Amino acid sequence: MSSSVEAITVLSSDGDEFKITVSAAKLSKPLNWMLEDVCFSDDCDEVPTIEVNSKTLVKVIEYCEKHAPRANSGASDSDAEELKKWDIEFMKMDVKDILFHILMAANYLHMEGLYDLACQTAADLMKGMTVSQIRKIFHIKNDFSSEEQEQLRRQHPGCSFD
Amino acid sequence: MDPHSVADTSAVDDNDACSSISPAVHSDVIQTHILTRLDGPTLASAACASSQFRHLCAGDDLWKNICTTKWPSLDDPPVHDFISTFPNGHRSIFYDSFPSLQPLPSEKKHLHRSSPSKELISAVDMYYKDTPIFSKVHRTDTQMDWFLCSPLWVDLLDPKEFVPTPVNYVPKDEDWLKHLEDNLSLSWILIDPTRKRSANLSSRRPVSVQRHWLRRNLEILYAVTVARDETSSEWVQCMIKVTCGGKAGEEMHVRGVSLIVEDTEGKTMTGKDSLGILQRAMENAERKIVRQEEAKGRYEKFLGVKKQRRERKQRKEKAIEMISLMLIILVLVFFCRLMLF
Repeated sequence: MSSSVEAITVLSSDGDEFKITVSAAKLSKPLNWMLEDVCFSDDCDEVPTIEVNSKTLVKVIEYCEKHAPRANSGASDSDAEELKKWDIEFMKMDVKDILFHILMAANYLHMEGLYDLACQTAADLMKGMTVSQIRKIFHIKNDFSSEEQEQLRRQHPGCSFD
Repeated sequence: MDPHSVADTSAVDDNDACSSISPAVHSDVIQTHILTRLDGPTLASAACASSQFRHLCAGDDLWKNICTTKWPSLDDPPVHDFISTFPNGHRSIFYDSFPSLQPLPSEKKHLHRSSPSKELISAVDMYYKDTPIFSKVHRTDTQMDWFLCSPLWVDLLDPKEFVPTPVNYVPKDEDWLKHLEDNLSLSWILIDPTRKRSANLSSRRPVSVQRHWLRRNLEILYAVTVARDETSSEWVQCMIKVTCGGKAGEEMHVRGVSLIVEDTEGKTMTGKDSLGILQRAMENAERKIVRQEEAKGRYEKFLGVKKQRRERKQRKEKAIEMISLMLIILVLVFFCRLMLF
């Protein structure tokens, strides 16, 4: 790879092109390996594909670009605080539509920080929720019969169902 | 609640375990990276969401992690061995011992007549501001004659043993007592390894914190009221007494942690009677999450009944005394008249 390249182009699984800076791409091990293997200079035609849909890839790239400066140079505590606040805002999204896709993308791209953040967000969303709220947030279909439901209520007096 | 009937009937193929959640997420990701971050009550709620979730939430490692984090005393090899024989492992312990025992007599009239319990295991944890400061496992042989005949008294510390705490001892300050009441909690999980059941005998937060003026120490009480038997509406109280002491301004020491079971007459129950009551409570009593005020209210109600009984007994004794006195006077008068005439 030419050292003059600052940003690279990748394709999403939907076939859309996305630009990501080299420093941000380094947050992901597979992307880092790609940087070493694939020719990214202007005279190369090859554009690598990432098996992540466009909607998810936009968010993953947004996360990478935000976290890259800190990951590459280290940062002060105040920056870390600010980044934490940004993460909380960044994770405010629908669970089924996007959070789970980001989680699996982070797993596929070996991005430990984003993977941990997505898992913790999913767990935090469940804490203190009633059974029906958990179903709603995670789009879970209640497949218990009314008898099973009644039995569950008896067996879990500590749980709030409604 | 009967956790034993929460059998893992939901044998769902792992591959489609999460098909209803999202096609993007594998069930092992949910199980190993999301469910492991939940606390016990949330995991119990998640298990009720769908049959797939019930299957995912049934892993013993999940519950073992929750139990040993919440109750470090359970992280003990012999205790692990006992729990591993329970129908649902650590989940059984959590469902039995996280909520509080209810004082109402159960509708279930019969006790499982399985083999008699050979021993009871007490797994006790004390916390300051929810951080564990003391954990101990104590085994009580329930087949010895001395245990069956004498009043039940389980003492966790030897007379010379004491446990340091991160709190400084303040001899005269009401606010400090209130601070202890709000921050010094205790869990006493009683495990019956034979019948494979357990229950928490502590109110978690203290029901009373008092200075003992004569002994110059502190007495902190934790109490749970349970039904005496299946038929009557009589109660007994499991009472845990924690004695603390120390020098003013220096760290406070826990000098005694003991358990007794007393009835509304104020009488301490024998080992044999206590064993029967506690086994019935473990197997049949309903469980519920109880707030501190509610637990305190039950303790005060029990004290009220105890006071009423004592007063009634005193009145009865007084009446008997009066009748006896009058009888004696009558007899004396009768004899005097007999002598005169």
